[in-house]
Amino acid sequence: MSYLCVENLTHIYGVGSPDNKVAIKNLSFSLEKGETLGIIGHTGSGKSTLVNHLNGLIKPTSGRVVLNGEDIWKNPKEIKQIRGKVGLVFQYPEYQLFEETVFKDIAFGPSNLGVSEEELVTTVNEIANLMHISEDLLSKSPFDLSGGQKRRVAIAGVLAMRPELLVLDEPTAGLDPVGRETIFKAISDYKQKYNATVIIVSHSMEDIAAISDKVLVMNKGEIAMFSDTRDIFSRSQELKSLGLGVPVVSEVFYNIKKIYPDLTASPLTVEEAVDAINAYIVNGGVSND
Amino acid sequence: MDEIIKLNNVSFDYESDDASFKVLENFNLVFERGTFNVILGHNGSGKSTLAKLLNGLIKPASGSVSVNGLLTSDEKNDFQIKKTVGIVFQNPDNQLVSSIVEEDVAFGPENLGFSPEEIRTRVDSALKAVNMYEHREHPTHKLSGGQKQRVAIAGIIAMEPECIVLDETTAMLDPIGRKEVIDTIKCLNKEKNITVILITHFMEEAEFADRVLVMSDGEITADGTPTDVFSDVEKIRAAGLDVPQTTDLLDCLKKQGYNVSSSVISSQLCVDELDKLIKSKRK
Repeated sequence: MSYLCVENLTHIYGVGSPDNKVAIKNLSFSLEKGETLGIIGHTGSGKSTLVNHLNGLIKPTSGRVVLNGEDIWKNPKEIKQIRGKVGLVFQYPEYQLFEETVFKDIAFGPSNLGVSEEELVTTVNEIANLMHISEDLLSKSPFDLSGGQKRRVAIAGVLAMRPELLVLDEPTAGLDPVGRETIFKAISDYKQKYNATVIIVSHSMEDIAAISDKVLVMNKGEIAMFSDTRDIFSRSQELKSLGLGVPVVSEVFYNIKKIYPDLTASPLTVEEAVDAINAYIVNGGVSND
Repeated sequence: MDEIIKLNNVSFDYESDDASFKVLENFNLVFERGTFNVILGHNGSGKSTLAKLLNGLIKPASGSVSVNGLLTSDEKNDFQIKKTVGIVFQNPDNQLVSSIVEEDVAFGPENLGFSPEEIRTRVDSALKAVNMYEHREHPTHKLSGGQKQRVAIAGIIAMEPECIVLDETTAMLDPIGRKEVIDTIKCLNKEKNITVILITHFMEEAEFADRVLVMSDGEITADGTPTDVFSDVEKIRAAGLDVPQTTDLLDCLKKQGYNVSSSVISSQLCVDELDKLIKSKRK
């Protein structure tokens, strides 16, 4: 039994109204504990609708989400418990900051669970440290921070609940490279420390290629592809027909391999590409991949 | 050359409770009419402050900003300047004013006092330019982020400004949405001779610019054609910017002693460079 099973999940917005819209249709896939899944797809393909189901924020029209072998809606009164296990970070989460201080904002979730003051301090310090939020920021108003800092505080607020499944919708949109790297590093640190499962929605094929074990491709509310990352990005023609791309290095290799068919590497990152070219040249034009 | 916007010795600072923070100091810059300019800078480099100075949304603390020779500091010029220079921001949710797409796009031209026929023509052509014409009667709150952003751009295009400033307008869009916006902007620049000032941290959006400026800590650290500016990859990285994987790959190979050019952005040119490299090594 897989850790997370999504079974025949369908969601229709505005059921019963004349302009109802099928947002996702019959989705089924599963994920093992500790894996990182990347979700890609065109704007409006149903990515956000899908992730909003994972912690019971919206209810399936039909189908179910099974976590640890149990339907999350089995007992609707206990859906709150699911929200403690599944942390959802929305797009532009910094718009949801509201507390007087950064500390209080990060502590908001656990403090509502009745955690002791002492434990709260430990939790906030640990998560702040993980998210590269320096101690002097904790007493500041979140509204005095820079964009990148606000984003990290907002994510820290979700991590403070110590979710076992962390779902992030475009966590690095609008950030510069340094901001992006910090967030990806923090997510990977959190994942390792708590053996968490991570789902990331992103438009950046480069980012997805660098961090995901598996990739789910959404198209018009349905699953178009679902496989491990290297396999997905070796199918560039298929992705293109869905209006999606592959990481730029993969694209470059796809074309250079047409000239040198004996070059067999399919790199996903720049480092892998540099190594592949080096190996190809050193071996006198014979790829050892 | 014909100047459209000129910044002369501009200083600007933000004040908070305990300190004032200087964003720009004695900043000088001139934009030529009809050119496609890309300003690259990381978060906090001062580029959004610069954008807001360009049409008088904020006024310089000292020095002057002029648009077609009119000073932004003079309130009399406000209307004319905002008609001349339109800005599109990053977050479309803060920019839409009406609940229906075509009404939102009509908001600008209505306020400029055009006839209903003229407004209809402008709204239709603006919506077609951003590929949102078929959504013209849809409610704006039901659009996706990328669609909203295209509507915001249409709202500016409908006013037919002489200059469009785009402040990280593509940051929230998916690759196709980004390409559509960039293609739209390129077309407006070429066909209508609209001056474009595109602010971004995606280096690949600068590939087709007439002029690329790199901004870091309130200063211009590089200024030239894309090929000039991108030949120094370290400088781009030092400014905290995204380096496309193509440029990155060639730069890494260059550092390992291979003879390749790293000022390449497009994937096809990168393939050409790699092909040349492999051929030269095979001899």
